[in-house]
Amino acid sequence: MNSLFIISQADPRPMYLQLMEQICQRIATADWPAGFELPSIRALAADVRVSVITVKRAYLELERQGVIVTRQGKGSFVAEGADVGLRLREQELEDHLKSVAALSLLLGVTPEQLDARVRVLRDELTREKS
Amino acid sequence: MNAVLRSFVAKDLYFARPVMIGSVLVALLAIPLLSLGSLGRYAAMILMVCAGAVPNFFICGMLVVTERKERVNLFTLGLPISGAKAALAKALAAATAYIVPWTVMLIGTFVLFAVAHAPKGLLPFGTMAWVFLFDQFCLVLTVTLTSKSEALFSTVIVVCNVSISFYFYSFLSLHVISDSMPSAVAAWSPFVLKVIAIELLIGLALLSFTFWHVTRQRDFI
Amino acid sequence: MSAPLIELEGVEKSYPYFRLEGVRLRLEPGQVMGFIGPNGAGKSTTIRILMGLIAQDRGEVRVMGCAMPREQAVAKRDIGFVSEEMRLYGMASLDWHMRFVASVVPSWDSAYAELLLKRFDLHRDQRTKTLSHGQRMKAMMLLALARRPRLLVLDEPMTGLDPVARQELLSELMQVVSDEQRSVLFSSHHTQDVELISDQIAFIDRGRIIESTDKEVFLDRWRRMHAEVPSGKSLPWLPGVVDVTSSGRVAVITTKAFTNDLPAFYEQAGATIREIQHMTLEEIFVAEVMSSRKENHA
Repeated sequence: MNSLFIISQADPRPMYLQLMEQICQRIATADWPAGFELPSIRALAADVRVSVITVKRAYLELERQGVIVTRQGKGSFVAEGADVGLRLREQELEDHLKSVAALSLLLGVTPEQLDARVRVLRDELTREKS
Repeated sequence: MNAVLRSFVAKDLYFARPVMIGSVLVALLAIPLLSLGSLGRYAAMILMVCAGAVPNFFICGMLVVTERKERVNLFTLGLPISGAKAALAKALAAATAYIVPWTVMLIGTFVLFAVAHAPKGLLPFGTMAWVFLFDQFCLVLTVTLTSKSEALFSTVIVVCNVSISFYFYSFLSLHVISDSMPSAVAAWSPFVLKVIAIELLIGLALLSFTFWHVTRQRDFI
Repeated sequence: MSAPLIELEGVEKSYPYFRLEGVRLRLEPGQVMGFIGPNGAGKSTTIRILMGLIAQDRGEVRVMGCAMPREQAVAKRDIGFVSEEMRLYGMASLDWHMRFVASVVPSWDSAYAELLLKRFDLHRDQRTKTLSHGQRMKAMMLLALARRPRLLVLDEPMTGLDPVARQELLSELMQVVSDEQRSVLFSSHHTQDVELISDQIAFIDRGRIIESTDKEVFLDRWRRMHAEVPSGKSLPWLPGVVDVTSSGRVAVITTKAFTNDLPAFYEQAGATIREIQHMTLEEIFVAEVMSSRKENHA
């Protein structure tokens, strides 16, 4: 029962997206460093208990995003470049910002109000850390 | 392929073992009763009829009807054997499970009568009745292997059991049979021999038809 | 590309109250196919036809290259079959069954059988008639898996299994396809399990195959859109839309042909799309069956 990743069927997002996110997490935290060989698609599918086709799609998307590289006959590897982790975090921030922008439009929060609220939250976090 | 067929027949014989041994034991029980006067002889006859008729119900019921009803056939047919061969194995096993004890009991009776110097007048009619019971088995087997109806199976069993009395009554009221029974010598009259021959033919015809029919099926579930 | 393990083409079978029509199915090596459909749709019949247990009235059936039902004895050497209706010999022990199967199937792997005994928590000397439903399913799975078959055909294998047993079974099934030459076909009401491990989904209703596609593609085509429709405006009926449920100004649109520019069509008609949701296989299943039944009554 010790799977590398957990796919939740209660999560509304497609399974391949969940898998991609968890793989990216590993890469961003340098658990899977640059050049690390990913498990084979079938081995990962058996381990995580999810269909082969879902893993294939996740790997394909990750390759398209430049996060991993697949070498024909050799397997898939975490892409070289120290900024992969950084790039992923950047992508995460971008995704969150998009949601914030959409919600603020929905609720009618002005950019100035948004800015003020973000400052407050950042100050709180900085205080907690010290 | 033959090995798989043999495994299937062996499996069914393994399950039918208790019935096979049981019927021979029942027949053995009849032996001491023979020396206990006319009531003893009557009881022995009843036991022999049981030994020849009851396995019928158990063999066909267990090997064919129950297995089919409880879908055990889905398990056996998932193994590397064709539906036709599995059906053939079933028919062979059932026939063997009945015929082997039946033959043992028949030969045993003749040997016993010879060794014990018992009055052999009973033997011709006894043989006739014994082959009649074989015919009943063939009929029950044919019915269970050609029809899925449990109601038909039950009906045929009841009809067979009831017909035993009619058989005994009809033939024992014929002088050609009843006259020679008390004697110490077996009277194999042409009449008796003809009846036995006809009965054997009927039985073999039923078995042949059954074996032919099961291999021609196309739907096995 | 190796030959498909299962090929059904134009298969038909008639019964007094039911007909299987134009069934077409293909299963490639290394794939898991989930076979779903309502009760009485023809799942078991199709499975029995591909196992050679029933002869089709028309059409071609080939399993691992063997024409069925004629060459079923050869094909079944490499097929492990478990059906929810199946029973074992009640008076015999699990051990007897293991020895019987081993004697008839040369590919029996006793070491793996021992492992499965432990993993499934089964007792070899136990008479099979004393097994609970779940234990019996596990026992039959053991008897099928330990044969190391190239193809596993399972008819409702999850029914009656507790969640732990289901997880164990799913693990074993995924182990089978970790070998890219082996495949699994399973029919199930548990759409969750089908959604999780299937590579291909085949959807059958009333004797006809409605869909047979790649799972990801299939799931991706379906969406549920929540829209606000101002009064006076009506929604255009676009192809692929299976259902529109409105109450007041709120409408829920279910479509099986979603594309990224679909919301734009609705926005042009004056509606506002509030939310676009993916659908679970169970929701798709129900939507598909309901819509095809509505069509038949129209």
